[in-house]
Amino acid sequence: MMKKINIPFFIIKFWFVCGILALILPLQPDQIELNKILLGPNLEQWCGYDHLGRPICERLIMGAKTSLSVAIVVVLISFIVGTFFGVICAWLGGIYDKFLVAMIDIFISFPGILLAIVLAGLLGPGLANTVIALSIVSWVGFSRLARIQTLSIKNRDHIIAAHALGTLDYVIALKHILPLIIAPLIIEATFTIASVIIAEAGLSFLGLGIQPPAASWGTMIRDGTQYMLVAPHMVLAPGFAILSLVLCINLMGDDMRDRMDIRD
Amino acid sequence: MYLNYIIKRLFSAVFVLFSILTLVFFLIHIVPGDPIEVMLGETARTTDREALRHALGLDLPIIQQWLIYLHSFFHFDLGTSLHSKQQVSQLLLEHALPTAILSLASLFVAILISVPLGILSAVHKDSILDKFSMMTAVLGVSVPNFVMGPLLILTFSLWLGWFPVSGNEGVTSLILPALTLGTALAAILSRMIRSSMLEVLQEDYIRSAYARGLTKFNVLVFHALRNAVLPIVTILGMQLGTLLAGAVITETIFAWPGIGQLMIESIQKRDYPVIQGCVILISFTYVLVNLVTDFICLSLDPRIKLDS
Repeated sequence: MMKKINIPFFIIKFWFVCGILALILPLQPDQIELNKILLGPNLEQWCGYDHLGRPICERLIMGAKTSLSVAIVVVLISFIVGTFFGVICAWLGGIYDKFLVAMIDIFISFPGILLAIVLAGLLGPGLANTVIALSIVSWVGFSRLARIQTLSIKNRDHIIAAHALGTLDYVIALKHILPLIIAPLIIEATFTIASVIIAEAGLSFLGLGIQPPAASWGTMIRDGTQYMLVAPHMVLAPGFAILSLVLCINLMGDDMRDRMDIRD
Repeated sequence: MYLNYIIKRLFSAVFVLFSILTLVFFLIHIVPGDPIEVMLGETARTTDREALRHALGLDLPIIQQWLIYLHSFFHFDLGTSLHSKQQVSQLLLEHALPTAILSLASLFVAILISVPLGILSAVHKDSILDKFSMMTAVLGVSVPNFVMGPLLILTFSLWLGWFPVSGNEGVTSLILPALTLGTALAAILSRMIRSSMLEVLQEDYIRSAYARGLTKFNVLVFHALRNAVLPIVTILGMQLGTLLAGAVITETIFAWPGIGQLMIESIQKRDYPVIQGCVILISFTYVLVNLVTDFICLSLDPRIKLDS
């Protein structure tokens, strides 16, 4: 039987390769060509030029680097921080657990992106502040999941046995709890990557995220909305870039969830 | 027993609201950036700055400022805008109505799309229609509203010329923003309705209803949907937060004069009291709506186990 080509995975790989190539290739996304301002797509430049005469194709590749690096850093930070607090507080129980539940309750009573918008707005725009704002919003999901999962396996025999043998708490957390709860957390991470990509682009769209001249898909759409009548490619190109990447990550997440047989 | 639950739920809501007030206050005061500098500019004299700082009470210890802030909050005083000198509560009132209209319209769009789609996919499970509509649902979740909005403007305003590009000129200018927000919600809802319906359709009473010779429409809408709607009401309440937050971006795209636009403008002007007011209004609405949906679920379904 012929192996089915996994299209979503292929597209995700494509954008990852673009992000990595952006580091290596001598691209010139900021090079301005005044005679090509707002020029539409053609054979030489597949995506055309923007309102300053910069090549959109190269800016898309730089944007992929921005999007993916922000998403990966934010998810790494919130995965580690969130899981740490979730496991520790559930394991210790008592007042620690109560405190964590209160924190989670407060954080989920805010619509996440709203908090990110306010934080990014107050901290000021820029790459580091975007990462900080999005991490503060994203850790809660991991914490909540890690807490619930830990609570459900906390009283299993092997953990009680390890505890009785005098195993140190952090060894129990790392070697006996974490491996059992990692699968749903990884799936959560997949969906969080998708939502962080959208959130970063959203912040940049509002002018609160990545600042020019650095390229971000959100900023590109923001610029493009001013020229929609004469140069629709300025919106369409970054729009489809975000759409394809996020759609494929979500599809991959759905697929992984089905395979690992995990329910929400 | 119900009373106990309701009281417990009310207490936790009050706790969360109080925490939000505190969190918002400290966030805005801890984060770097000086409102005095925004108001007077960098060239102002030190004596002027100190005078203004004193007049606004910003030279007091932060705990005292917090107490004053709580005190005036409970007297329905949210302060005045640093920029336009208008009352914040007045500004919020002016902008709340457009946002409420937009949210309700999007909710209407979402229900209009998702209910038939969800039911049809559940009834014709694994058919082409089911696969197609669920694929559309994933697509809908993956299109951020700042992509959807420009795409709709491009298609319906610029190419077809059916609706105005932006602004607030009656019903026609409401359609595109409501579609932008509503389709995203519809994508989530139709998946929920489908899985909820699938569960209900296997129940014995559905088979009995068919056996009694009721029409398919009758069974689906009055027997199945009535029972499937419960988890959906809860989800709707939770999604309202996403809807309101999405409204912030959508209002910016369509220049819709709501809370979202007010918030973004005040962030750009560093107008702290107004930002504070917007965040409080949105999150309070969210918490209260969730509280109400919980109670609605309770009255819709007496089977809900309160201890779980």
